[in-house]
Amino acid sequence: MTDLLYSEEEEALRSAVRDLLTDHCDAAGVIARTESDAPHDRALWKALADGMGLAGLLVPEAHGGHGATHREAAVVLEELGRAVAPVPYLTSAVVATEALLACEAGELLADLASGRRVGALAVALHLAPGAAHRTVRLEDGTLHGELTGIADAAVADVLLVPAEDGGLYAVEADAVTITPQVSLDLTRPLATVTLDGAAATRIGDAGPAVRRALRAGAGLLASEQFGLADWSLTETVRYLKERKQFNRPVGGFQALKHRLAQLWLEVVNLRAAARNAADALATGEDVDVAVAVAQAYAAPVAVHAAEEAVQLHGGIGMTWEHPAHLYLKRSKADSLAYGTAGAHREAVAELVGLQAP
Amino acid sequence: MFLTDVRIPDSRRLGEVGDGWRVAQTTLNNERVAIGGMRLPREGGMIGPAAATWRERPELRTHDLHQRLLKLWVEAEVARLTGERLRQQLVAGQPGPEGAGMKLAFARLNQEISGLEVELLGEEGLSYDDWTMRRPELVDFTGREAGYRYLRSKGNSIEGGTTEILLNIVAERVLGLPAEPRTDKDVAWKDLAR
Repeated sequence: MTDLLYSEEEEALRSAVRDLLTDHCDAAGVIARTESDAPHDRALWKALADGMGLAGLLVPEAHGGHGATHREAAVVLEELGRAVAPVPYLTSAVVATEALLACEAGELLADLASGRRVGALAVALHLAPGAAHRTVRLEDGTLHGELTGIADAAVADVLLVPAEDGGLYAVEADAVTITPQVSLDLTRPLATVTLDGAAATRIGDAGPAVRRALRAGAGLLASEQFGLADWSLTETVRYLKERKQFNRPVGGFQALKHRLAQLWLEVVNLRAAARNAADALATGEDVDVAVAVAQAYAAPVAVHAAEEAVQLHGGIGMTWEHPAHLYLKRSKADSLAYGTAGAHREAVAELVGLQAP
Repeated sequence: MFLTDVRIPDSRRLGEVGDGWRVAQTTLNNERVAIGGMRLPREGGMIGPAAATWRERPELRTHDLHQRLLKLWVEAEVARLTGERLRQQLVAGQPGPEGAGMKLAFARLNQEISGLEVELLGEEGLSYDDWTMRRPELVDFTGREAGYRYLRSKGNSIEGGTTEILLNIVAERVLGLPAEPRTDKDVAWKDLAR
């Protein structure tokens, strides 16, 4: 039976991550970082990955990891979502790591598990598991081509690049040109990767590795989206109890109360869907349906929560200084990441036999 | 309901004198759990017959209905998981406030899914199985046709507390938002406007 709760160990992990984020990842700092040339928080990444060992949760102990499961990684992502933390956890410790696990690339796995090196799968962020992705040319053992929409590539030390021969290649970041793209979500920025005769090592077949990586990314993204939505709801409820108009707290007006109660229902549902996906990834049972259901449900809820946060905060929610816009941009970008809700509904149709006309 | 000079023996009293409101609330809460808290397998609720009709009757399919069916299928599956999570919390001795929401979710889903199914049936959707008036012995959601289920499920957002009152309860008891100002609190019931 699927376990949809959090264990005591998972709750302890959550409070450790939350304490760290409370001390080292405040909203003003995240906003200031998005205005700089270095939107990623490398010090926070070092504390999470190196200090707490969280980059190695999905990696077996034999490869220098912790041999934990997707359930624990999901709890970390809930907290990172709640803080819109600009660290490459989902892209390196989940997606790139899953690709390396599929390729049994021991040495690189140990590098990523330690957190001392960051990996990025060079597949565009918007692609759903199973979607066709771009490849680069292979000539005389070196790679040539351009790949766009690669999330967190700016802080990657190693890129995992699919080539036209069906192989997945490890390429050192200093062997390619990485050009930041102006991104909707500045806390998970995209970049273009240009390969012009880059030296590369074949680590395995791209097909199964990319599919596995994107499926895990999509499944655990739901936990990040839950964290974003839970912050948006909690912060909006808190503000509406405080903010007074017409000599009353505005949270007492039924027009607003019912909207927040509806949102609470959606957030509660999202937690169950996200836990179900994390547990399915951990046990390997019913994974495709669990991931597709979670992603078909999560994106509209996270976006709705952030949109309600902006609207119900009134004027202050439209300012650059208030963090609501961080949650709006991340949740909107997340609604495209690893496939839209519509793409995942189509996957559900195939998986449960509800064929199109 | 009008009660005039009705004599009820003390042996029929439920609970202690002065405790009637709690007894009534308990009964209503149980009604909500009964509407929203059944343990279901996948496609175990109202989505089951709709999905079965979709699979068995390819000639009825349209692109519009497909999109709407998939959205409701996902929502029904997620509501089922939320109910399952609530049960796991109860077993682990950590009851959460989610119960307040289950009935809200299932009322809406029952209505939207049965409404979609009537539409999916096309010409048959205009027929009705049986208008014979009789006192129902039990609520039968799956033994009758889509038209009946569509009309019956309209009651789901009224019985056991209307959706509007339940949203108030979630907003006030779960989210801790302030109650609406009330003018009836210190007025005897017989003096209230009605």
